[in-house]
Amino acid sequence: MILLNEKMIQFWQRSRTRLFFSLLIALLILIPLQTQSIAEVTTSQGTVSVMVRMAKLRLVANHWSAAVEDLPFGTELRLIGQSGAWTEVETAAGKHGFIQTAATSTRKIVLVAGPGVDKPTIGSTDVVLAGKGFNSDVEDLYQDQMPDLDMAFIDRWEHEVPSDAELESFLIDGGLLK
Amino acid sequence: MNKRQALEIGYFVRGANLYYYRFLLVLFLLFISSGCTYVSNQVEDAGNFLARQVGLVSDETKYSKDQQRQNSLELITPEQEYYIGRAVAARILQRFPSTSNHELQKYVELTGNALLVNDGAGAPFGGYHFHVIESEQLNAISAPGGYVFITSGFLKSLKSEDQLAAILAHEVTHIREKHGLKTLQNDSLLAEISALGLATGGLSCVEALAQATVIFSQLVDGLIDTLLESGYSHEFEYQADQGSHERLFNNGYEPQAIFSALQLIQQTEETGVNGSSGWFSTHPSVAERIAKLNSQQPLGSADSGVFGVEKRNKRWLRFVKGS
Repeated sequence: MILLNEKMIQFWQRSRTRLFFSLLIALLILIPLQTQSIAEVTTSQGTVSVMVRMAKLRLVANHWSAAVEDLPFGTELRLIGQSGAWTEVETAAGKHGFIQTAATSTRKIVLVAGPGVDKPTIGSTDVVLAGKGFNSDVEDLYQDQMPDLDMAFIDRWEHEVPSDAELESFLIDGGLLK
Repeated sequence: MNKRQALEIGYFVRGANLYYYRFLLVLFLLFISSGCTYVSNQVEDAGNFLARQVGLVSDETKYSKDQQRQNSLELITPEQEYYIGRAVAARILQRFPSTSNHELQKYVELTGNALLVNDGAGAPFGGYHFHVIESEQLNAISAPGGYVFITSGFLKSLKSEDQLAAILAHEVTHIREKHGLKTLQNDSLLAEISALGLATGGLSCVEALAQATVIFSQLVDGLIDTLLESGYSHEFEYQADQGSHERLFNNGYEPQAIFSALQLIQQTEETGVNGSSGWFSTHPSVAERIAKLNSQQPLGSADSGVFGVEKRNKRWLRFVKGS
């Protein structure tokens, strides 16, 4: 049984005291949640990161080579070699192949959750990946304010990318394939 | 238990209940604010905080305006640039209707993609996209994030696929070098981007989302003004010409096509067909650009040779001239 006296009751009834302890307990609960994704900060060397929404890992350094795997934005790859338009890499799962140099960067992709990120883990050359800021929610709100804006057209247009076969045929037909 | 002790326990229980509900309220408020990028009364400090977090600024260092502008632009991630570009592209399409000629559209899209086969680093997040817009104005426009437009009037005025490729490659260079975002001169807007803390938090609260949208809208307006009215600096145009020259060469097109395209533009300027707006009014004089290009190291002829040029000219006539 808790021993109660008048001082203890007054202590708990003080609103500032209650507020202070409320904040303290809430922060103790929230801080681990906020810093959870810091573990996703990358630090390794001799790597490249995928800098486009989706890139193809190809068997050989050629546009028309078979795709080994689709690599999403931020995927970190072990750098094996680089020659002009193609970079030789290996995935974390050990898959070996080639990716277009244009789709990569030697800058790290750093996922930031919020305050509490350790400064030394992020350098001035890193790319911060938040998936937030100007995002689809902002675009939706912007479109609400401008109802005439046809974002659906942009969506369709983005999907009208020529296939590898179409592009290969176009290059051959124009004498452009080296 | 005497009467006084019972009374004390009663006070305590009531106090504890009140405490419990207030605790829940505080917890809820903290949870909401943790999802926001910033708290409104801390906006002024957020930019500096963010810059320190990403290692761009130390507490002791004072940066010039150029440095601050560069820092702000660095905070716009490829994905955010993609969303800005989508909105800019949609705004351009409000002003210029899309072509209804699907074959011509496909041809331009393929020509643009042919320029990306041998590419260095720096592709935009969502890739490049090329589109024909209906206008007699002679113009080509590039929005951040990879969106390239060329008017039907400009297409008809060109003489070959290689010249089309030269214009598209010029626009691709603007995108690759982020000329659109770099041209933003509104320091207060860039400060707001920093303050928004784009890189550090979510936008789960309505207030932050609304404020981000206001800044987003201002950015898009600024870019539309740059792309359609004020134009890029001469330095950026020279850079885009040089980038076009190199990209043509690297992908088998005739690198001299950028010269012939510029000369064609010069003729158009002299005849005054173009009027006061469009690609020409926002660019430095063609003579200056040709002189600047000539001062660079020449790249020689394309690998595809005369045979390749003839093949491309045939399909150019078929798709663009309809013959």
